[in-house]
Amino acid sequence: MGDLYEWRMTSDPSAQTIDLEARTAWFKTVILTEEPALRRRCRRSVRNAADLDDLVAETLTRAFSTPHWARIDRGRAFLFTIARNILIDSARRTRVVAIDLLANADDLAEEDGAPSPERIVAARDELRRLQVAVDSLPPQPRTAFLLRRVEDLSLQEIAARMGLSVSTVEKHLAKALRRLVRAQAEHEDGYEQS
Amino acid sequence: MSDQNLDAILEEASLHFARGQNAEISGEDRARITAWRLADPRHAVAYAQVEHAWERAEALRGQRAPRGARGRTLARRWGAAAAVAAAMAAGLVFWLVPTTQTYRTEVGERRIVALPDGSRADMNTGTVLRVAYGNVRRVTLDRGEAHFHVAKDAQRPFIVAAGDASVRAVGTAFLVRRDGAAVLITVTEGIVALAVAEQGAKVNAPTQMLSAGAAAKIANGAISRAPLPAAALRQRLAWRDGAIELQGETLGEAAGEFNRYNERKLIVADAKVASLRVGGRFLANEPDKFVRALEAGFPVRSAPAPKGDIYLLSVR
Repeated sequence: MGDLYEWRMTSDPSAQTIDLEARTAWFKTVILTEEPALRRRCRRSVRNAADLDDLVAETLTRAFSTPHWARIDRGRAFLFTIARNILIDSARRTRVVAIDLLANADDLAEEDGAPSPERIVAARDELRRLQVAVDSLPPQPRTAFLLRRVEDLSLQEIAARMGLSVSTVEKHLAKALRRLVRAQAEHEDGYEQS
Repeated sequence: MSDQNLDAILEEASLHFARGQNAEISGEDRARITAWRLADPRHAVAYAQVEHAWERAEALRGQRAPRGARGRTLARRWGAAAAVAAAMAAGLVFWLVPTTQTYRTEVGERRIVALPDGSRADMNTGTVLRVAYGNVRRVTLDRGEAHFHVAKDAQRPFIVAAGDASVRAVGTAFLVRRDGAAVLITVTEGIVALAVAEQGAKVNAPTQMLSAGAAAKIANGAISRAPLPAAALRQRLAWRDGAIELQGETLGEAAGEFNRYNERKLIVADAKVASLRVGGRFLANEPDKFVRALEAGFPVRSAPAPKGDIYLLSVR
């Protein structure tokens, strides 16, 4: 994966940071919004859950590393093309070329990535899913998360209120976030089928 | 492509992000977080996923109950643990409702507003801006036009809402203009994300990225975009020098532009005059000079209209 590190194209630290922030902003709006679609599509070719996670992660990493990010505004088509290339490379390497895998890989590149009406509808279900995900957090991470995210309290205030140290609050908050990221990645089932 | 470290990376990213939520950490601590993100694109991706989840959860704030009922509603929604938290937070209601500050300019007025985070809004004529800063820096353009110069703060996105358009920036500069039902967005620095804000669907609405030198128009719920040549960009920003720059617009369009800045309106009274094409740079608040220039160079004459307005007619 060494050749993918080209995104750090400059040695000037402030320019690096600016690139990182701009790239991250792009990544969140153009790429991560399509992560559920990517995962759903990859599932056609990769059945094993660990392999699926790896394929999605590798696809996202390559997407993040692209030098031409600013010109890419159709995240879905871009992600599908990357995933397809990864699948083909991996089939070449292992020499276990499953015909249906390649057929599915071709299939991957077909969708043009235009936002579907279903996506707009799906956005309305987001809030409900988010509430379910937050509800299922363990009590302390949930409390820390809600006090920070919804009530806008500082970590120090939260620590005082919960009778914990600030660093423990950070850990609860981190745990809540980790679980929300996973919940977000996993709820692609039914994303457009509902 | 096999990697057993994905969970570990996500865990570390969450911890870094949570640490970044602590307003009291040092600049060195923040630099460490950035260095970790830069060290490996997988780190950067995981961190972006955490930030993304955090930002999407902003929608929960919109679910807040009205002040009187909030304890009850939160208890129902979040269960006993959060009810305790809500009760504890009850003394802090002022925290929950970000204060909104409204800024206005009259017709012909320009105003530069320094925002609390170091960002700047350069307001054009006849503009109303509402600024509400919480976890997100939210600015609403109710009317008119403004150029925003956004101070960098990755933790708090800067979002301008104008009609059904929503423009989101991290550290960048851009222009937003309301023109009837349409909204025009011009990016002068960096990159912004555009979305059509639909009622009830503000989470994860489809977005488009727009980078410096590009422009987009949002009308009827659709985004159309176009590259912007340097001359056009200069034209769109001329008002910041108090100027109107014309590059072959029709006289009808030019009069509309002057009328944005002046109570004395130019009224183009015949079609032949309206379709003349004009060029040049004029002071926005001096329509008389523009009219004199027209009379000198074109088959156009002016005549006084009621209330001090000016008719533009063709020379017979």
